[in-house]
Amino acid sequence: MNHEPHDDAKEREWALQEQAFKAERLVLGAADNTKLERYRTVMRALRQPMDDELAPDFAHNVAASVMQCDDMKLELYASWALLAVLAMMLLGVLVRYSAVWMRLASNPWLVALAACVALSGLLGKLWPEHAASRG
Amino acid sequence: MSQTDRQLVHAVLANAPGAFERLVREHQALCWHIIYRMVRHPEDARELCQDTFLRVHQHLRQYRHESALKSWIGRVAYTVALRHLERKRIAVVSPHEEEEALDRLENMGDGFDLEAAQASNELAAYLHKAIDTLPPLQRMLLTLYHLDELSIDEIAQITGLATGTIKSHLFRSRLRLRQQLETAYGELP
Repeated sequence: MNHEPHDDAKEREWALQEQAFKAERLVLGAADNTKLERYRTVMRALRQPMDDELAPDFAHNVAASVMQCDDMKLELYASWALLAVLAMMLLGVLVRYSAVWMRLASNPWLVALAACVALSGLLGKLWPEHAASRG
Repeated sequence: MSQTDRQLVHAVLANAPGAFERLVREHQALCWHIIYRMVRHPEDARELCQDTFLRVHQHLRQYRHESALKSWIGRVAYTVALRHLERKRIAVVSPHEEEEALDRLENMGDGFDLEAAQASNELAAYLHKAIDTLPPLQRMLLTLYHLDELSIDEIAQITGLATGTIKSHLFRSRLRLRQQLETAYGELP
């Protein structure tokens, strides 16, 4: 208890507790000190194994889960790679047919239709409960 | 950090067969003691132990060999248990523990027949129940100090608490158990 050295009673009690702890560790015989023996009973209980333990195959199962996670990570990386290829292909299509898109974009009716579709979709996202009640 | 720890960490990072299983086997008892003592619910504790080792595997590259591997893994287990208790809104320490401890120290009597008390199995069971009633942090600190026989410095590395705080918790909880032991003896036939 070196953080409160001014408190002698606490210091003595701490020393007694530590003495009891050491006596239990070294399996010493009973002492002629009632207080010390009380603490030894407490220390004995504290040193007893817990009432429940991990299963004997716990380590094996955890290691197996880690292997499974590694496999899943590989799958995830493969999915991302496929997505990237898809995105590149989409970009290629956009560039390849840019003349067609430009022609469509020059038609004001088509632009207005696209704007309406986009706006209704956006409103549905912003106020989903309102959109649902209407539907 | 020991050479064995260093070799084991390198083996796990190199994906050597059986290395991670060996790491788990070597440190699962400490992990269980930390988590089960704090959480108390066996099923939750098992899941959290598994979560701890998954995190250890995930972050092992960040381990800088500055402390023993045991302390580093213990720290991960402690953090996992602490977050679980926070999510469940369970307090890890009792707010008025200091005042209660001083009162107990002042009011403690000497009239106690220990020999008669030791003869009773009921008393041992009562003591274990008394340990269970301690706040999670104190239960865990007592276990690390008495059952795992970790030094106060090692416990400080695991919990991040100051050594004085750990000593204070140990002192108060052992005092409380001693008092409860006496109360139990008085109540036994």
